[in-house]
Amino acid sequence: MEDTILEIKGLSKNYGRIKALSGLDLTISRGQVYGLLGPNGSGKTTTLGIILGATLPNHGSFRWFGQTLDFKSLKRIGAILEHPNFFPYLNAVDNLRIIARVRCVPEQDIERVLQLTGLSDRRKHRFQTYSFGMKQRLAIASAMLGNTEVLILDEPTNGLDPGGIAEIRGLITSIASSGTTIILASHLLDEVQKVCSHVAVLQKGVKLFSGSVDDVLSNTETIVIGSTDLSKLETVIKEYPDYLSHTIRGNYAELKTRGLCNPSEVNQFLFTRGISCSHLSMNKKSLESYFLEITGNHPGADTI
Amino acid sequence: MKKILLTIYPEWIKISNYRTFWILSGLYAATLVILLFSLQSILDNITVNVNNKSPLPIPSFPVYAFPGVWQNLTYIAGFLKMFPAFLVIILITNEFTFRTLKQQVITGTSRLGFMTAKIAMIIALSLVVAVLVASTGLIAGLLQKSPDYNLILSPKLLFIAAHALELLTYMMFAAFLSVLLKRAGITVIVFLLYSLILERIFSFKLPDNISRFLPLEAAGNLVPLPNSSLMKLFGISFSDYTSWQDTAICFGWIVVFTLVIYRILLKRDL
Repeated sequence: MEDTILEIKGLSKNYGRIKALSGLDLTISRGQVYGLLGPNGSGKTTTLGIILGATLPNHGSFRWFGQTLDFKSLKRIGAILEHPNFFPYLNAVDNLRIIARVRCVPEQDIERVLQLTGLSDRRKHRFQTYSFGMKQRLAIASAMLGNTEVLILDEPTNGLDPGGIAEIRGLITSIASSGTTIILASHLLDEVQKVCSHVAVLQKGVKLFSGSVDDVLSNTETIVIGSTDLSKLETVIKEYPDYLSHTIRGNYAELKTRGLCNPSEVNQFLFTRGISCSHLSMNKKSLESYFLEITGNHPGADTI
Repeated sequence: MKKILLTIYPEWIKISNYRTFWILSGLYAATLVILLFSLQSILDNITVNVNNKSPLPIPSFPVYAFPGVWQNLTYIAGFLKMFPAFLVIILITNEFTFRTLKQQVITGTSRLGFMTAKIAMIIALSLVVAVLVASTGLIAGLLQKSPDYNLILSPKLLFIAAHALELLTYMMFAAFLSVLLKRAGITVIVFLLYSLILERIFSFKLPDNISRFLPLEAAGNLVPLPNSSLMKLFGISFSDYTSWQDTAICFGWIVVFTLVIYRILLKRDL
């Protein structure tokens, strides 16, 4: 079994003069739950369209399971792109029959995925009578037909009510725990934080960051220090071994360190340099504000 | 054979539960059969009316007599050949409006497989219509007083195949427009504009030996106007067989449409 599932190199796509994607590199390994995070129009769906062979790239290449894409490797991948696309006049079973035929999956498997997604009761109802949440669940059911090795989900909770969102996230987590590799595109940080093990942040078709979600989280912690002599504090903290950067906010200095923060160590260090702190606190930024920070201030730059 | 059946099976699921398709094809089949069965009485009516004013008696024309029935009925059936083309437009543009083509491609259908399935469906449609026309002809012919059984199997039976090819050419043209334009409404309008107006203008402006290469004209030429007794009276005689040139032109266009459809599917984002 190969460990690298998907390797993307220098992928670019233009729609007329609009650059939807420029030079994307990405490597996804077996078993990862990989989040593609970015605001609307950042190139997530374009990326997924390309790696699924529906959209043709202008430059760059990608390899699935170490090979160029063909319809045989597509049969190992289950995907939903944007909206659930089915024949409105066919019921769930007939719609899935078409997919099962394409994938060479026996029709018995249809019952299994309908059970998994909780659609068994409505299996004989036409697709056009479904609520949006049910349509989305049918899309996930179709992507899971035939025990696919990779599941690609494009905004799977978009347009769902809170109950539906929780349900879909639970479903994704349980699929991931069975070892299926998942690629999840989302503009919701919270979703990526809850579900994914790895993340790539996209903005305007450029990858800003990629790595494990834990790395991102460690980067969201700062230490806020207050002192009577702020200018002395500023020169001294630069000598702190794990110093990364700092900002002055009012009467406080906000320190960013390499790795996880250790307030007591910082306190000890400052004390030995003759600074006594009037305030010391750890600030855990939400991923949300971190996301806004990197997409807002450093377009095109890797912050790690 | 098994592989072909497996390719068609999804198409059958799409069609068999599609009410619009069955209503339209039911209407088409009913219109076709009624038209073909009432042909004799319509022609008799005309002959009687003309005879009232004509100095020469015009003999009545036995439409359903073997083997002429094959040419007569396929010629008249040709008037309705737009219907199956509309069915094809609906079935193919549906895949774009419902985005199900995209879904099937990301699921693992090759573009070639998709096209093969659609063409197989088109061929099946033209065969079904050909069988319908043939059975109507056979029944109508057998219902005549003292039919000549020896003439049932005549070279004129080939007109049934010619009619199938005529429908096939029309439907492949419709398939090409559907893939090119993607939306049902615009495809129907362009199809009507081209077939009813544009190609007729081209045909009018171009010399006959060139205009016969136009796709729809070539399809229309496959079954020539039958020689009625009236024409015999005036000494006019039309061809009573399908020319191999027209057959070749139609097959040529079918190949061209197939290649263009494949190229569009390969080169366009879905």
